[in-house]
Amino acid sequence: MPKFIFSISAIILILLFSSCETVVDIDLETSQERLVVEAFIKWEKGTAGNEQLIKLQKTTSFFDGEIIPATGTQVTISNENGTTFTFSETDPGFYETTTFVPEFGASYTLSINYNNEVYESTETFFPVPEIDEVTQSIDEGFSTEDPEVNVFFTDFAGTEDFYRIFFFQNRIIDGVEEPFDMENFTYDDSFEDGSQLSDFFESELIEIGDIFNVEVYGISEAFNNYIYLIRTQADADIGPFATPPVNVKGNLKNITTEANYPYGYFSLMEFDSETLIFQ
Amino acid sequence: MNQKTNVLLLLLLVSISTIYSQESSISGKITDQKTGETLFGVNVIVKGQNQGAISNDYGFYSLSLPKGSYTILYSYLGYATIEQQITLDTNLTQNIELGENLEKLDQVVVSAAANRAREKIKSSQMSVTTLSANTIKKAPVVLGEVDILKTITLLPGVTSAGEGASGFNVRGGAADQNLVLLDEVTIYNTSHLFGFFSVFNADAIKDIKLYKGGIPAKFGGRVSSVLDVHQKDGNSKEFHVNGGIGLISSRLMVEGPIKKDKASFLVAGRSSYVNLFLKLAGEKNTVSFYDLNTKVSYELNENNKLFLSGYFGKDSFGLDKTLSSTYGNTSFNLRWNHLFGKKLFSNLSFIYSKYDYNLGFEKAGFDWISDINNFNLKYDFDYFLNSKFKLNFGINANSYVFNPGEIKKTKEDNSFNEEKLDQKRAYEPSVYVEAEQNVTDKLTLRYGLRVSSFFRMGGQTFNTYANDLPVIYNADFDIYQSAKPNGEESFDEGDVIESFVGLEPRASLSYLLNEKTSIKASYQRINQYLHLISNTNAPTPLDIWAPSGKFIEPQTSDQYAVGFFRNFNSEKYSLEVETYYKTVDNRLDYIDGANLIANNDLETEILSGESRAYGLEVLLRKNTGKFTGWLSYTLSKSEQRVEGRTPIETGINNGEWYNTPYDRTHDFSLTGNYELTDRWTIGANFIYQTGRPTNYPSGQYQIEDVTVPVFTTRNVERLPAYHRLDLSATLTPRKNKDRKWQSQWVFGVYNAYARKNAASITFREVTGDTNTGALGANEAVKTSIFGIMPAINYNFKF
Repeated sequence: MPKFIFSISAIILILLFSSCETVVDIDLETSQERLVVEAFIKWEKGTAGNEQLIKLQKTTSFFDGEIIPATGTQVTISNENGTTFTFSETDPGFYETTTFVPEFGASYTLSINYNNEVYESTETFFPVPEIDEVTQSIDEGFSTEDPEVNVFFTDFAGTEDFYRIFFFQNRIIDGVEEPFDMENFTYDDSFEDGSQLSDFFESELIEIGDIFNVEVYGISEAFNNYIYLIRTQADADIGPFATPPVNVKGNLKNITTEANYPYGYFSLMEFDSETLIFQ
Repeated sequence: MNQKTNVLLLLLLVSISTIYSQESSISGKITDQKTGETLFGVNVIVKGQNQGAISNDYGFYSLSLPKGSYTILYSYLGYATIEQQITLDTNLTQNIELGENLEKLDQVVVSAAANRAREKIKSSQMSVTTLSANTIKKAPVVLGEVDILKTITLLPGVTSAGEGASGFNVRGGAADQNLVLLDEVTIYNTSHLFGFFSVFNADAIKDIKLYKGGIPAKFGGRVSSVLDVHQKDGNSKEFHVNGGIGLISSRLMVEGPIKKDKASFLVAGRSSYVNLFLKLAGEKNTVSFYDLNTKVSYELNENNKLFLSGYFGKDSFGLDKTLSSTYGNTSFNLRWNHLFGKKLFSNLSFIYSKYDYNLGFEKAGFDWISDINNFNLKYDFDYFLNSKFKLNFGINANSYVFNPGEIKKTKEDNSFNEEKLDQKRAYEPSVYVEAEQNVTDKLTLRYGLRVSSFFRMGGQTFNTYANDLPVIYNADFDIYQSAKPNGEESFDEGDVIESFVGLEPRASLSYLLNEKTSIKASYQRINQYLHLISNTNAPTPLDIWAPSGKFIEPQTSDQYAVGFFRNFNSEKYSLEVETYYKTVDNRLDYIDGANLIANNDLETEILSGESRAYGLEVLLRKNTGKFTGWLSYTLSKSEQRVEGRTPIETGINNGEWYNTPYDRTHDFSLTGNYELTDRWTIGANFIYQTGRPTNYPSGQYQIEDVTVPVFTTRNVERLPAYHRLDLSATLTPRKNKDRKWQSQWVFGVYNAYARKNAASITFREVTGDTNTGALGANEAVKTSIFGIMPAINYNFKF
């Protein structure tokens, strides 16, 4: 029930109806530089899943405007059978492979050798149910005036499952990936085991002819928590009701020098996608 | 232990009574001449002797003296002092009506104020602030209304949780550590409209006492402070209506006799009408509150009096018809005052209270319902043994049912399964005894013991965890994680799942150095069995209260305080300096990213820590004259920590102390009230406070094009200092004099120099270009809530 939590934040926002914002100068400290790993292995239903991408960067000071890629790094993933998939750097900080072999429930180990220090993580591949349908409507959702796109899928019964849902609006224009509006929810089925689940994306900016790509991912509980933490940290603090900030450590470990722990996450997930042209 | 103590004290009591059996007593109740309201804290003094008594919460006093002739003085601030000649050869009942000192004979006012100031010097009670009906009337006006909570935050050691946030903090304690009592009933949420208004309608309030330390044994259950608020009984002589019309809300109070001098009633209500304005402004969101104070008192005879009081308060918010939220307190209290003889006063209370909050998700088709139900039986005794010795004792039995959350469908076709989080049940019985003793003319002692206990009852199923650890430490990634339950245990309603017993010694002493100067010291231990589960800097109405149990230990606090008290210039000025040191064990903290909403297994999100606070408080008051007011300064520190449970665990913030969100190094306030002319009174408050601890990022990275900040240690940075000036002017028209209809205009300005105080500082990207791989420059943004806010109120009385 992700929207439940968003709604609570919304109540608190009423309070700020009379609030005012000013840009101010603040001196900030700079923390130790660390490796950041974005190793999200994604396998779309009905594809081979052999092409995969891992992004590496370094942390930077808060007021800097640049991403600093982590370059010249050895990146591999190996599976339970001892097969190793090597990722090679195609752009600074972008590491790719075309030989990956995905398998549900199998265990994979990511290994990164960066500045003579080895970072590792082991994870399992998570499956996802098929999308039942994607529909459009106006009357549903939070507002009866704004249009929304709905997705329906049937939860795996008997297990506690976690899902991540994306709504991409006009992702591809003339064959080029354009800046998109993305809505991102994680979904926990604990209140609705085995039933048909639905989610929606509602916006007054939806127009006829808009192309929606809806993606549903099967993820682990730990990754669900991680994404939740990352999103909470990234979202604006809303005053006295903010929770204490944390440095969100992911599931990777520096096995050479423990204190130089990295940020980021290694996750393997299946996803299903559907397209809807808004009419 | 507990029984032994009682027996010992009983023996002590009996032996002392025997010694003083040659004495007779003078006793009675003290009331206001005009309203019939009982007056608490009236000084009853034997002229020419250093002996006396003080009337209790119900206006009762009793003084035992050797047979003989005496002159007794009854003195109370704002009232003319009464002198009575008495000959005491048998027990004497002397009910006293004090008249308001309308002639404003400065002489008399000064002497009453002086007596009060003198009493304060002598009393063993320290760390307390008392506001009576008279002083409440003169309390600073904020946003057009006298606001009790805002007034107490102008005192040393008390800060507000922040602008636009409910709750207050006492001596570095959390908001859930304050015991807030309205006619003895626990109030769980003290604010309306997220802190704009307090739930206390000043019209209906007789007096308040705030204990920051040296808390009497009578009170327990919260470790930081007691805010003891009494409602008026209602005028037993005349019918009166009292009201006020303001910009945001209006209020009306009706009181009068049901049977003259015997029975009276009071009904007071307030309601907001912000919604009208919001609607006019085309705003779809709604916000409103109301509250209602009611009371009926009935004096059966000299020795018996009954009271029935009720409080109903509600706040509600609506978000464009999709979401609504309501929360509020409902309470009843039936009390019976009974006198056993001339010296033993008793009060029996039967209390019911309910705090509830509901969320309605109209579109999604479900309601979220949550509440706390509490029954409380109290039996308190004041035994006025003689002029040197008073004994207070009593029992208290609390029963709680917590309903932390329930989802109810309001539409048949939605996919939500109805769900109810486990109800939690508990009993909290306690017993106390406390002596107040004038050992010598200079030394006054108060010492007592409260034995509290807590029984967490069954009637629910509990998860069990491997090694009894609901939170596990993941050493690989240095994080605390929720454990998965490995089984379930079922308990019947009659089963006691966990029980706690706490011995809470309390002691205070005062030593008079001379007539004008005293030093005081106090120690207290208090246990708190209920915890507000809240991971935010300030409480929100949605926070859940959880009882102690298998995985949550009670909070235990020790506080030591010493103080220096002095009156100057014939009691025109008084100075109070206090320092304190306070520790709290088992203060809850939360694992990173704790999910506290709709969670049935809260124990998997909680870590147990500790907190400590220390400080120096200075209060300089001007008590009398055309100009009255006070200057208050606090220097303090408030910290908490959670150490690892085993050597390999790092704890929170590496197990190091970090500032609590309510740590304020400096807190300064100046409050003044000046009677300019017969018609005009002006008032001002100025507040300066160190900024709230916060966290600023010390680095950043991107995951999926979202910028994630990196932080150093917790709560080490601070928001800019908070300061503010409020002004008010009260106009009492001259024509009031000769008529029944009394009116008053109150003009106020909140934040007069429009300081943009920071409610928070957040960071955001300057531009929205997220697809180029550039992070985009970040900037710091200060959010301020209240600008300059004018207020006009029209008050009337007839």
